[in-house]
Amino acid sequence: MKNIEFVISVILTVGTALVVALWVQGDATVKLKLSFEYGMLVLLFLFGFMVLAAIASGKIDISKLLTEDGGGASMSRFQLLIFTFVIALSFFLIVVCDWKFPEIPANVLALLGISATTYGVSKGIQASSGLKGKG
Amino acid sequence: MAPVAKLASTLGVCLLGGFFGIVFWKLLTGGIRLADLLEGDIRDPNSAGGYSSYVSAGRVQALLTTVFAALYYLLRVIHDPREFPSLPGGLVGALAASQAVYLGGKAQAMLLGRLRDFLK
Repeated sequence: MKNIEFVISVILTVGTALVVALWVQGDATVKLKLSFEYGMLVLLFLFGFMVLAAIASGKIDISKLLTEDGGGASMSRFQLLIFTFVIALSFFLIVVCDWKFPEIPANVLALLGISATTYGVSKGIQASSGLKGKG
Repeated sequence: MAPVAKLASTLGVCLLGGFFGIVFWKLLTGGIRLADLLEGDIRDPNSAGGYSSYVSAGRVQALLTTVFAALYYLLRVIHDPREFPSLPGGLVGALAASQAVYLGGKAQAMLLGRLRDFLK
């Protein structure tokens, strides 16, 4: 079978939903709600895990994540990766710590804007020069 | 906290931690290529391909500023993870200036080439 991981994920999701629906005490609405919540959680986790496993094993190749057409690593891609990681990690830490959607200060948006604009302008310069250079 | 929320946060930590871990592991071991990160291309009429490589000061300062700003922000969040800390205006300005210098240098190198060749 070509996508055995996908089939296993769906089977585990259905199994989890069934177990929750059968074992949890309460009326039908509570059982349905909980089995849906746990089922979706397991499905999302398994899909994420499949992607992670594929990246780790090299099935999804990210070796050229920072590479431009010219062959070298791109500074604009690298800084975009760093800032995206930092803001994503910060967002996750804050949500886990406080359990509410955080206010995002304007200068954090400015930081991401500067980073993404640098990448965009860098690509523009490269395109207008007609060279397949490093980004 | 509801058990499903606890489980969601635990699984989220596992996935995000795994993702960051894999990317950093690949960055450190060369699985993601960082070769020539500090080298730029410059228009060069004397070269066969029309351009050559050089170590770019603009890239070096952009890398240092990026790493400094990223570490500064991450440490502030780890120190107090209840809200997004605001960044000092000076740091945002410095970062913008640094990226502008990098882009200016890149534009000059790729569009005009070396100044001495351009002024010939």
